[in-house]
Formats: sequence, structure tokens, C-alpha cells
Amino acid sequence: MLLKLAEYHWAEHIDDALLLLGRLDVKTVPLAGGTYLLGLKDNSIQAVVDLRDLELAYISEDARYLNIGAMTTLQSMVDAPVLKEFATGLLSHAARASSSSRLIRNSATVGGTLGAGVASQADLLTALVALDAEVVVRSGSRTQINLSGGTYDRPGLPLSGVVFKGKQERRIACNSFDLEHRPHELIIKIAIPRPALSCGTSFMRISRTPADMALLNAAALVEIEDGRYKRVRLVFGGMNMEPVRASAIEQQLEGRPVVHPVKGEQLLALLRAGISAVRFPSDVHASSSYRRVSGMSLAYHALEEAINVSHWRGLVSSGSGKGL
Amino acid sequence: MELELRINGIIESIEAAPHETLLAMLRRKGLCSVKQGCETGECGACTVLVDGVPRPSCVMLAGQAGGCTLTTVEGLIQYHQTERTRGRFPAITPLQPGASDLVLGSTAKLHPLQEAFIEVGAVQCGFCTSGMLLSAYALLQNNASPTESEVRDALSGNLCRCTGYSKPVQAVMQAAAVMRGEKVAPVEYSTINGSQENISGITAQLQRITVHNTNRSTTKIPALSVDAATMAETNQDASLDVVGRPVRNIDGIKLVTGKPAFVADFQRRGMLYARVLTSPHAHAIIRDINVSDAKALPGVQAVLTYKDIPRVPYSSVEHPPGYEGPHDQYSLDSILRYVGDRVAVVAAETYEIAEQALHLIQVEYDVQPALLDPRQALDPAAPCLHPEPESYGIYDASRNIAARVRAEIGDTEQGFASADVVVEGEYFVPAIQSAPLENHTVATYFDDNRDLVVQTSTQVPHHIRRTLARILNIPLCRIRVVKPAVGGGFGVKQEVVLEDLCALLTIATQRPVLLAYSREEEFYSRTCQQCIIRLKTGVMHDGTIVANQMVMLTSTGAHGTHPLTTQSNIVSDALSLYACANMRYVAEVLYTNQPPAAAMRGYGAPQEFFALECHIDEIAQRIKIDALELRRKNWVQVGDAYSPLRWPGKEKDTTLVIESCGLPECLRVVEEKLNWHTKRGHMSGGRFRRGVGLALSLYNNATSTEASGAIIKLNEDGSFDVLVSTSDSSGDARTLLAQIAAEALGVSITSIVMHTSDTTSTPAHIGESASSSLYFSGGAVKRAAEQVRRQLLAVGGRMLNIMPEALKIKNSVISAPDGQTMTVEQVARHSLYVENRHIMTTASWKSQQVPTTFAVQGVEIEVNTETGSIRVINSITALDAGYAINPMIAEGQIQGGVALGLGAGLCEEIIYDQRGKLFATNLRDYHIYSATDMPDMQTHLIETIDAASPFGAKSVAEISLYGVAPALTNALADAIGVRMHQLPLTPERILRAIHAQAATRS
Repeated sequence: MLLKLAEYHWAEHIDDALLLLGRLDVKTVPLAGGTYLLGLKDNSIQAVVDLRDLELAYISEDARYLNIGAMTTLQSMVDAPVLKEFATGLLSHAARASSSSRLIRNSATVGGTLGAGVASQADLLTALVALDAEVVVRSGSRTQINLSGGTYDRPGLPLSGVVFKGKQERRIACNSFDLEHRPHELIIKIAIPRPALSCGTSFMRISRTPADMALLNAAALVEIEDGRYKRVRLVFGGMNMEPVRASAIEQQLEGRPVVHPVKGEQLLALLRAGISAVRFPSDVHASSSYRRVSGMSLAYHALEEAINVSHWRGLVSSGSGKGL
Repeated sequence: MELELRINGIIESIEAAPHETLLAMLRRKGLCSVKQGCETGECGACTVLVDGVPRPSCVMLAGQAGGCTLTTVEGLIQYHQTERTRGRFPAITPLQPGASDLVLGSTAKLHPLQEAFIEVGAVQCGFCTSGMLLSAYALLQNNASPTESEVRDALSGNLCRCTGYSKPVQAVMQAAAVMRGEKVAPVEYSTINGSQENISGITAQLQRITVHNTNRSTTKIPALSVDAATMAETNQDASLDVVGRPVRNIDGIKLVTGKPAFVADFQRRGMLYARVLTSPHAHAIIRDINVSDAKALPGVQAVLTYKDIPRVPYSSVEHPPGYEGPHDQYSLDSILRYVGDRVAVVAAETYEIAEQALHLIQVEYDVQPALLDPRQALDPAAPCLHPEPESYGIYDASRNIAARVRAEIGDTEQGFASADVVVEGEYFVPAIQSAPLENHTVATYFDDNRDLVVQTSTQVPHHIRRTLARILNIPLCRIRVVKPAVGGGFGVKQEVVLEDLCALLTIATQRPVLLAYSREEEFYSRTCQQCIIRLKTGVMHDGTIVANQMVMLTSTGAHGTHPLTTQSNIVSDALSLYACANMRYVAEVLYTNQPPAAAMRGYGAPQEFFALECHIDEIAQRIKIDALELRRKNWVQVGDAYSPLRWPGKEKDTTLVIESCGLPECLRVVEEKLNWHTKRGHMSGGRFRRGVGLALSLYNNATSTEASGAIIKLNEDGSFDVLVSTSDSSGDARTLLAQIAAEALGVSITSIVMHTSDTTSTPAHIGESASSSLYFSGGAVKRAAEQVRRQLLAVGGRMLNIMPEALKIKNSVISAPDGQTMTVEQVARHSLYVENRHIMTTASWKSQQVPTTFAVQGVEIEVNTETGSIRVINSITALDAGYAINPMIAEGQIQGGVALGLGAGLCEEIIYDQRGKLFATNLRDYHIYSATDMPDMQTHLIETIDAASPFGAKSVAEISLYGVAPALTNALADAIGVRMHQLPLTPERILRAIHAQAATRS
């Protein structure tokens, strides 16, 4: 319960929301689905801005990006036909695994999940990093003159004394969102670059029971072009763990010629060499050494599957492409 | 702020505070179907349809629903009527006439989902039912023909601790079929006759058996069905009309329609809201406490600390007569012994004010060293947890020994010396949480007679009454404990938890007070006991066990609670399964700075059976004998003495004899259904390896001293009021007892009106525990009903001028051999108005012996050897249920127990940090099984005849948990050759064991 919450605002425009969120004298936070915020019991929060009317619940595509509005719920991502196809269903799969509860998925939004970060315990974060997703945030630059609340002409409007001077929008890479985003920036959407047609992905997880949170998960993305690995992403995540890219492994693979079927020993050797550079955290649920050892297995099978999918899709897409 | 909402079809303008949750607002508006089970949206009890989408209302601010259309279960009936008017749904079976109509209203009909939930037995305690109904409703609105997997996904956010999810899934599938206009066949229930005469026929029966829907249970119960000829052969008594039938939950309509049923659903004028300030330290002394600021806060009516109340030592649990047990608890104390211990309590006009007041209480703590591991409790340097002189009944307070249990028969050392092989093993079972969906909730007030009324979610109303009378120094007769519907308990509500504080506040303020724990507080308040068990067994090469010893170190937490009664009562259930001439049982019950240990389903036996059944497999492996042969060679049989071990000092020392035992049949069924001989011992290579395992168990509450009573009176309309106390936590007992009464009286179930909630009208129950409702209350009800039946027949005989012995009662009609008939109502009126006498009676019941329930549980699992994760492929339970009074309820209870067992085996574990704080305080971090977790589950009821209980019934609710964890552990050993000795079987523990084994081999 947010005991000190005294103001509830329904913003109808993003600029209004930014103005409210930018106030310095009233601790104001954005309210998306509420599943994380209301579980916080944070008695310092004085105001919330409900983002429901900002029309940010959408999934759209353009030539370069798939765009997911910040207020899109996880269940909408699970159900959206476009996401079942996009990157061979990686986002849809990860969104479903992010919470075993359909009720939570009906409420929790992708923006809220990113905002909560590791605390969301969502598998989706790993998948977004693997897809090189970008978080589009917007902020307003403004000067506050008077926050005493209302004027003679506009009684009762606490924003009447605020002068709005401008706004800016920027993109932050999903894997550095926690580090780079600033206070009062509002997540507007997630932009995910379109992978190549021959892209193959895989998502795997370890949990105590099927519906439990992931002790460890791994998302792999492989793009093959001209018989070589053009882009490889291998990302680990899970409970109490920020998504972490296995960059050394990715770099070892990128540019290499594709050998199909995959030679297990070669891949294993590559993983063994590269996984030591990944720092797995320890917590009460799983030790760092367990995550590292089982991570080898996840990485191997995830990469193998992604490579296989990419290989076969490459054959199909190149065939049809040449014909056209 | 003002919100415009359309709630269940009615547009309303509602004033709500910015911080008010949607859940709080709806409950304020009187919509009781929306329940509070957690504060993080994980349990789903608060589900509401927001614009048709099911969402958890506890993590939604009311403002988020502004302008939305909301639907709660209260609206389902209304919506259904609208849809029926449009011709969308076909007609459904009308309700049974009687009291049910009063709940609904004369013209309303249940939604097919509500109907199906009652019909298939998906309603047990009912706390989660509303949420499940709404999730299912939303699914069926968009998908008329869902698959089972889609149904499970739809229910994935609605946790249930009672049912194991099979029956709710089955109900949704059935409702979907009804809504599509299909004809749905009633669910069939059958049992396998396990009487001794019929053993040879079991194999033949099994060959004729068809299993309904092996691909998970949905449209049919996965019980065994035999052909008609076999059924006739196996039925114990085909003449029974009510007992043995799948009678619907008598409270079903109330629960599926979301009517007020639970403590928090009843609001009183001038109600205050209480909150407890809890200790942040595992061990501390309050040096100073200042409540003046809290008291000064407007709206605060009372703040109590240890300075404000008399220091009365008490025990929160009921100990067996003859053994008083430690009285080491105080309502509020200056010594705090666990994180979450009670420091102060506040009552205020609103919940929010009470919460604010807690922050204004200033406490100066003198933090003491904490004792968090029972293995360190006996260390001379360990802090002493109970130095206070007022406490009494503690075995050795200076050494933190709350109780010590020693029992032995024969000469165990000599037995070990004579054995060919001695096998030893140590097993660790962590503390877990019962986690019922309804948290501890209590309301207290003075009634119009100035009697103190304690309305509480408890399993032990009479014990609460006795204890409160002592603590509050009020005559027992001036306290009424009222037990409404209980939203699950499983043992954690078998003691005084919040009742004393709430009552003290009512006395201080003279106003009604409501006090409820949050989910986090619930985690901190009680956990099930943590055990370290050492087993040592002497065995001959042919598999004969000649000596057996169990040494148990268990933590009772900060106070001597249930581990004492547990150890003393079950000395030792597990060893009795393979009783031999030389046995020793040693238990040290130790204090630690953990929350007081609560009882839990199984009452300590699941821990013992985990150790024992793993140990038996290890012995079999060691002496190279088949694990089942070893069990068959040593198991208890009909005619054997049960539990020959006895705790010295127990008053009664009678020898109990096993009168019926369905173990051979249970084992045969599990062997058959698990393909044991094909799958066992075939260790494969590769990444994924499969294994099978099973475990045996027995349940008997024989050594506890219990007694119950019942009152039955005939009303002039031919109905019967049955007044009896029940101690179950899921509400099933009311239906079972009503069936017993109806059968013994010869009337239909609708003629029985159960009164089980009020200590002023129900006879006291001594030794209340979960399964005692069936044996003791059931015995009292049956005896009383038989007496009333005799009175009825005597009056009927006089009316018909015929000897009473010649009369029969069936379905409320009394018939004579000459064809004359009359109704019970006619007899009632004649007795009252012509003979001027009441037909009524009282009965008391103390059974010298209760039947022993047996079970065999098997699982097949698949292990990923690279990650250590386990996938449970199926779970099979064959249970000697005696003569099941209600096979539908029995199956539901068993399935719920299996779900709990799977959780205990694979994921549930309470972990403390070094300061005694819990790592998991919500239902996301503390994962309990959900609908999507459940594997294929089969339940088989084996029928045996035992005269020691009403109609030969045996208690099934608790034993269904016992064998799951050891079966999983044994299956793991079968799959990968690694033996685990600690629960739960987490992927990391398994992977570490695999690597350790590989290192040893290399």
C-alpha cells in the first residue's frame, strides 16, 4: 500500500505526464500496470501519473523496427500474432515465461517491466537484450516557477505555475538501460531492429518447477549470411540477475564460416573459453558456480537451436529471395 | 477523487482515496467475493474482470479502474441471466429445492461455471473459487472450446492449496461443454475393493480397468473404473443412500456466489482496525518503548505493549492431557525471540491510521545473539531463549530443550549387533509454509449479552476459547468463539495466533476490532518445523529388519508449540510401518530464534516418512534386494500391533491392532500403473534420464486423546439441526458429517442443517486436530443420529401401531412392512403437537482406536543431467481410503495433498539470513504449485473394511502428502544413481550431487 499517496493523475498527453513527473517537491512516479509499484509499499511516493490514456499500448512495425508501446501488457505480447513470427517467436515466448500468472501478465506492461529492471524477475529482459532492443525515453526540460497550486484564473490546478520549455527524446540500448536512464524520463516504447530473414533464435530456462521464476535463462540469436555468422547474440539472465551478454562467445562466432550440422566439440570448446568472461551473480536461489556450469548447457543448446533454425531459414529465404 | 465505474452492470460514482486499492474499494462496497490473499497479485484471490480482462485487484489502485467495466462473481449470475435471455446458453439443471434457493434468490440460476465447480467438487475451502471462476469466465468468453492446456494457463494466476487443480480444470472443461450445448455425462467414481478375501481378484480387476483420460485429468476423474459386475462385487454396502456418494459441498452455492463467508467478510458498526508492530531482530530485549506519539495520532484508539497487559504464560497449542507442555508464550513480552515477534499492537479508526501509528512507536532494542540452527541449540555457549522464571513446563530451559522424547522396545543395540548389515543415513527437511490462501484473520466484539465474541479463522475454536479464558481472566462461559468458513489452514490455524491481541484491544476500547495478517506477516508468524533425522537400521541379508532407530533433532522455533505434540503423538508413525522387535525413537525438540513451528498437514509424519522411505531404498541397494520385496517383507499387516513404541508418561498405553490394511493392493496398483518392472532400474545415458520411485506411508492418530460430542434435534418441518464441532480447514468436514447424519437417520442430505461454527452451541472437542473431525465428530454425529432415528421410529411405531423394529426410514419416508408410510415431518409434528415431546439427543464419542490409513505413491521423473532440473512426468497415488464417505471429496483432498507434496519435494523451503530474516516473504519468491506446474496425476481409492470409524471411512487428507517427496527422491536415484538426503530437490543440489558422484567415480 502506498500510504502517503495523495495525488492521482490521469495524463492524456505525454507532455502532461512529463510535467507531473518532473516536479521536485512532490515525489511523483509513473503508474503503468501497477503490479510492481503496488507491491513496493513505498511510503515516500506522493503522486502517481496513470499512463493508461497515453495510447502507448500498441505493437507496430516499420521498415527497420518493431515498435512495442510501453503500456503494452505482457499478455498482449504473448497473444500478438506479429510477435509469434518476429524473431521466431522469441519475444512471445519470453513474455509468457516472464510470469507464470496470467493475471500478472494481463496487468504488467513492457514499460513497467523495464522500469522495474531486475526486480521484475522477467525473462523478457534477456530476450530484449538479445534482440538489441532500444528503449525510447522522453523527458521534458522545464523551469518550475510556482508550485503552490492554482491561480485565480485556473483554480485548483497545481500545474498552472509550471513553465514548460521543451522536450527531448532519446534511445538507450536495452542492456544499458538501468545505467543510463535518468530520473523523470518516461519510457515511451521499445524499438527492436528487424533481424535478418535468416535469423534463428532460441530461449531456454532453468527453474525448480515449470512455472517458477528462472534460476537462469539464456536467449540466443544467430544470423547467417553468405555462409558465415553475421550476428550472434548470447544473453544470460534470470532471477535477481541483470541480463548479461556473453560478448566473448559472440565475437568468437561472428564472421566464422558456418559448419552445419554444428560440431558439438568445437562449440563446447568455444563456450568453455568464452563463458569464463561472464560474471554470474550468486544469491540464495542459485550460486554463481551453478549458474556458470548450467549456463554452459543452456548456452550450448540455445546456440545450437538458434544456429539450426537460422540455417534452415536461410536456405528457405535465400531460395525464395533469388526467385524474386 | 470521484470515479465512475460500471460494476456488475450498474454504473456508479464512487469516491475513492488516491491510495485506495481496487480490492479495498470493492470490499468497501460490499463485494465480498473479492478476497485478499496477498498484496503482490500472486495468489489471484482478488481477481476482478476489468473491461473483461481478469486482473489482480490488490495491485491496482482504484483510480486505474476509473471509467472501466468491472465484473465480480456477484455479477456472474446476473450476466448469466442476460446471456440466457439472449439464448446463448442452453438450459441448465435447476437447483435442488431447499435452502440453496435462499442463497441465490428465488429466480436466479447459477452460471454453468458455478454449477460445474460444485458438481465436480472443485470447491473446497472456497477462498480461491471466486478468482478461478472469473479467470475461467474470461477464457470461455473468448474461447468456447479451450484445450486443457489453455484452461490451465487461464487459471495459472489463481493459486489453490486445497484441490491440486485437477477438479477446477475439470469443472471449466465441463462448463465449456455445457455452454456449447453438449450433453455432459456425470462423473463416475469407483474404488477398488481391497478386502482380504478379494486380494486374488485384484490383478483380474486391474486387467479390466480402464483409465479415463490418461492425458491429464479433465473431463473425467482419473480414478479407476471397473465394469458393472466388478462394481457390484466391490461395493461394501449397496444399500447406503448418502454415504459413499459424491454429494456436493453443502456450502458450495454460498462459496461460488461470493456471499459473505470468511471472517473479513463480516463488518460491524464502529469496527476498529488493528495492526501489529513486529520485531526486526531475531533476538532482542526491549529496553525502552515510547508510544505517546502513536497514541496522540488522531484516530488511534488504543496502543498496547507488554507494559499494559498482565503477564500470563500460556501455550498457543493444545497439548495432550497428562502432559501440560511448555507454557512459554506471552501475549506481548519484553523479550523478542524471532523476526516478526509481537512488539506492540494498535487499534485505530482506519487501517491506514493504524499503519501510520506503527511508525510512530519508538522502540529501543538491546539486540542479543541469535540462535538460528537447532544443531547449535545445545551448545553451552548458545544464548538461552527462555530465561524468564514465569514460564513453566519446559524440559530444560537452560539448554534450550523444549521437550525430549525417548521411547524404546526390545534391545536396539543388541539388534544392531545381531544384524548382518547396519545402514545409517541422515536426512534434512527444511521448514516450509502452509500458505493457506486466507491469512490469519480475527474479529472480536462484545455481543448484546456483553459476552466476548471472537470470530476467527481457526481450526481449533474450543482450544482458543479455553486459552483466551486463561489469558484474559474471563470466565470461559463469557467467551464465544465463532468459526466461519476457513480459507485453508492445513495446521497453521491449529493454535492461538492473533486472537489474544484482538481480544485485548476490544477489551481496551470496548469496540469491535478486526486484526489480519498480511502475507508477509504470515510468513514471519509461523512456519512448519525444520527436522534433521538420523536413521540407523539393522537388517539381515534376506531383508528382515531386526533393529531400527530414529533420532530426530527438530526446531520448535521461539516457543514450544506443535513439535512437542507432534513428536509425542506420533512416536513414531514412520517406524510403525516396518515395525520390528527392537526399535528406538529419540527426539530433541529445541528452541531457536525462528518463528514458532506450526502444525502442518501430516503433523510431522511427512518429514519422518521422507527419511524412512529414502532409507529403505538405500538399504535395498546396499543389500542388493528389490526395494519392493524389502518393503513387502517388513511392512505392517492386518493383526499386527500398531505403534508399539510409546512415550513413557503417556496416560494410556493400550495396544492398538491393525484391523484393515490395503497396502498390498495399493502397491500393486502403483506398480502396475507406473510400469514399475519395465522402467525401474534401467538407467539410461544421455542428457535427459528417466526414473521411477515410490514410497509407502501410513497415517494414524491413535495415540492422541480426543473426544467429541454432537447434538441433533428434529425440527417440525422434518429437517434436523446437527450441532457439532469441526476442526478441518477446508470445509469438507461439514459435508462429510452431514452425509453421516443423513445416512444414519435415513433422510436426504437436504434435510440436514449443520451448525459447526459457535462454541456456545457445539459440544467441546478435546484434542482438536484436522482429521479428528471425521473420526471423533463423525462418531458422535453417527451415534446421535442413531439415537434420534430410534426416537423417530418409536413415535412412528406408536402412530402406525406397529413395533418400531419393523419400520424403515429411507429418504425421509418411514415405511412399514404392511405398506403404510409416513414422512419424518409427520412424525415430527405428531411428536411435538400430540405427544408434546421433542425428538432430540446428545451423544459423546471417544474411540479407543481409529483406523490406519495406508498409501503408496509413485512418480516418474525426467532429469536433465546438465542442469539438474527435474520434470515430473506423472504422479500416481493409491490410497486405502476405507469406505470413502464421499469419493469426490476424498479425491480432491488427495490431489491437494499431492500438489503440496510436489512443492515440498521440489521448491518449497524457508530460508533465513544470518539475522533471522526470511528471504521469501511473498508468493512469488516462495513458489507454490500452480495449475501449470501440475503433472499428470492419477488417484486410485482402494476400499477396505474397518469397523473402527463411522461407516469404515479413513482419513485421506493428510497422508496424501507423505509419500510424494520420498518417491521423487527415490526416482531421482533410479534415474541418475545419485541419492539426495535433503529437501527440496533443487536443480543446484542435484547438479552438485551429480558432479560430486562423478568426481568420486573418477
